[in-house]
Amino acid sequence: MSAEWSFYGRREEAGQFLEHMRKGRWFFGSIRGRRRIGKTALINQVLTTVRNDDPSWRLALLFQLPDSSVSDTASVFRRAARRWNLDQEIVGLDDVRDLEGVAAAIGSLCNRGAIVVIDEFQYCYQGPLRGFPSLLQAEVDRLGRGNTKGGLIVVGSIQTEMEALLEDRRAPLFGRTTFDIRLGPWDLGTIFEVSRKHGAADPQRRLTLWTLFGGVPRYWELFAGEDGLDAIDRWDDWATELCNRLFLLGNAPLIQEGETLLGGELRRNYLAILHTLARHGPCSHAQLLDRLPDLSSLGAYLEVLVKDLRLVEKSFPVFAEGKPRNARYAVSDPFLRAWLAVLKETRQDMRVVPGSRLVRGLLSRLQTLEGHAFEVLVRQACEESSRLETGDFSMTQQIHGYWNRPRGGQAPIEIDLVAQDELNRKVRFGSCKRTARNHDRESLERFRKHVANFLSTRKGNRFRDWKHELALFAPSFPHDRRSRLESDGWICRDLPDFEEMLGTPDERGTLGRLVVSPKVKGDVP
Amino acid sequence: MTPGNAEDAVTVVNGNWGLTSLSEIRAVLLSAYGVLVRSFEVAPEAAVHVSRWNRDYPFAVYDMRPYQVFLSTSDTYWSQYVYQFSHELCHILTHFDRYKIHRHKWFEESLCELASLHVLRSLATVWKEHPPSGVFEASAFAKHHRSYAEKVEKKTPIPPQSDFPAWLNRNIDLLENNPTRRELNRVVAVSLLSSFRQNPALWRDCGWLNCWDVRKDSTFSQYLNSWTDCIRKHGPKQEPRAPDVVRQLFATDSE
Repeated sequence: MSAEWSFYGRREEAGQFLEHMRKGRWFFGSIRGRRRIGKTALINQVLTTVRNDDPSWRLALLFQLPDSSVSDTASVFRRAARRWNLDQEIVGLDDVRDLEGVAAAIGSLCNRGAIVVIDEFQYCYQGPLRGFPSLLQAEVDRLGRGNTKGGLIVVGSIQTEMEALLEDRRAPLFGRTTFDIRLGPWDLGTIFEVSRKHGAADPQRRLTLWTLFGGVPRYWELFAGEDGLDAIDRWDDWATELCNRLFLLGNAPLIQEGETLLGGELRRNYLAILHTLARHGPCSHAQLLDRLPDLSSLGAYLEVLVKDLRLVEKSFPVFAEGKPRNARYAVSDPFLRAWLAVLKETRQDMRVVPGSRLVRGLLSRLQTLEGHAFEVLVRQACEESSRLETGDFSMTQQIHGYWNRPRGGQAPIEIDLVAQDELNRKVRFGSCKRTARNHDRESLERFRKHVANFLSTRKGNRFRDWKHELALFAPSFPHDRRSRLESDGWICRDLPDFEEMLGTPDERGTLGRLVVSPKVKGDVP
Repeated sequence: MTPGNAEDAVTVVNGNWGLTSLSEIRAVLLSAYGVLVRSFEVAPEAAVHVSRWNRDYPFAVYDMRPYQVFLSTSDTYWSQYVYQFSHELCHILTHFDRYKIHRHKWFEESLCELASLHVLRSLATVWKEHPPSGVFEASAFAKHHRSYAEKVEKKTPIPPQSDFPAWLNRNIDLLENNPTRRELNRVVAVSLLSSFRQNPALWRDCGWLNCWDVRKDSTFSQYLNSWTDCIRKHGPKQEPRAPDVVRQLFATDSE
């Protein structure tokens, strides 16, 4: 069994949050991030830490807005106040029956120095709670004028709706936040730490887990809670068991997660685009058209997926300077990508396909997806290690891939990674493979040719006088293979190398035990 | 003004210290403070305020009372706190801002590196037996202080004792021109470590550094002589020993 689960990563964000709380001045903050990203865990950990400094401090309240009626919201608030033992602090708590009452009670708590956290704040964007931000605005303005020491934090998971509530000029709470914390996925240093402590130090397994979970803490926590996985020897068996337990079997905790993330409201055409991108990896507009010939207005759908829903990210090759012809689209969230490319189909197949064929299909799709995911992981690792100055290549610009089909019928060029160090006039070209043995003679030759062709283009020409490095990336390189490749002048980098560059040192003190605060939800009986 | 008791001696200023409480940081710093103050047998002349900043090195500010120390660590990297804070506290205890720029500053810098190693090694024992209250699982953490010090020591190749005079000859210009050449400061620190570990009373003599006009010493040998004279004149009755230990290491004769 692996180690006990702890609070990982998020040091910078937690420090920023704590710094605000310790100032002893009124604040109105927001914490945003996708579902399961660890917003509540961060809040709990910060409240626990604050209590270390002042054990007598207890004025905090966390409650979750229900996607429901006004009276339910008032009821949730009353219950939460009691659970947090704050009923004595609110005069007339039993009379809080509407949004005005809730806002006034929050104002009065903050006025007494309490920290009030409102979770799922995006529900105020529309529906019965849409008047709540105006009521809060009055309280926030009043508290901001006084000598209040408390604070109000709104927490939400749907980025676009949170932005509309806090950043739209017409929104009542516009321009009022004193801090905004945006929680993204864990960095790779944290992922290395978590996977090492929870029975997945093996590079191939790390890649699988990263492919499935990205840097979303809750998924990793669910994995860590599964006993016996680390005792399974073969990757095939381990990956099958992992997917079964977490996603596929009837009691799997993430069985509905993909559908929940998609919101159940996406129309067929959007889903078709997402499915295609997830299955085939990054695609250009033309490739999508080839694969979805019946779809009209692809551009408009892509626009919504990229800009409004942010489910798809658009990237350009190095030096493309935003020319749409060269753009590629990919599903932005790793979990969603895995759900659409691997898990959803396997779940559907479970009804009819025999077990052994089902497993073969699952593993084959997973391995294909891991190939794409590994490329993303390597880019992230190179960027993080460059930023932290712990890597072996200092970049002066964001890392890109390069892809192009030169005019005149020449062969297409495809390079996974182009990293530039302008100060030292060095450029590193990278080729990523899911296994080291795929860096075979043929593939190395192809890689060299792509680089040579790139350097002969107008865009590549600027690197001709620079120092060129050819780097090969794989989850792990066996010692003899690495020696052979390195003696031929290739640079070899694998996940253990990146762990050394990014890993957190062992000499870190243990965090105190986390006191998990009650999270009062909206399902009022 | 000397702080009345150790509790008032160190204040941690609010900042982005990562995921840790100010009280824990303070407890860690106070335990380092305790070791060094006991070794020097004297407390700083004013309280020490410790802030966090985002640069990659720590420093202590000249001419400020209370003393202002900036650390570049965060979270629960307790050994890093100890390492950085002990270095800066050693500057304070050796009266770093009486003579700010002089050719022998490198020796003070080296001594501060030595202080860091000394405190880390001491706390490896102290925390195991008497963990500071308020630091979660401090006792279990104690071993990391030793390994942190060992890592620094291992990364510092030191010449054999007999080669030290030649080493100093080769490097003294570099050191005099740039007193914070850390790799060279550490060579001096690691070379002196065993003497100071065997005889912690040597630290008491270090508290007399910068108590004479160091700018008048044109050679390092003269600087060591002035140090001896200063202790004899103003210090306790015991014969000064630290200058001799340094003199023996570098085989510099008394002039």
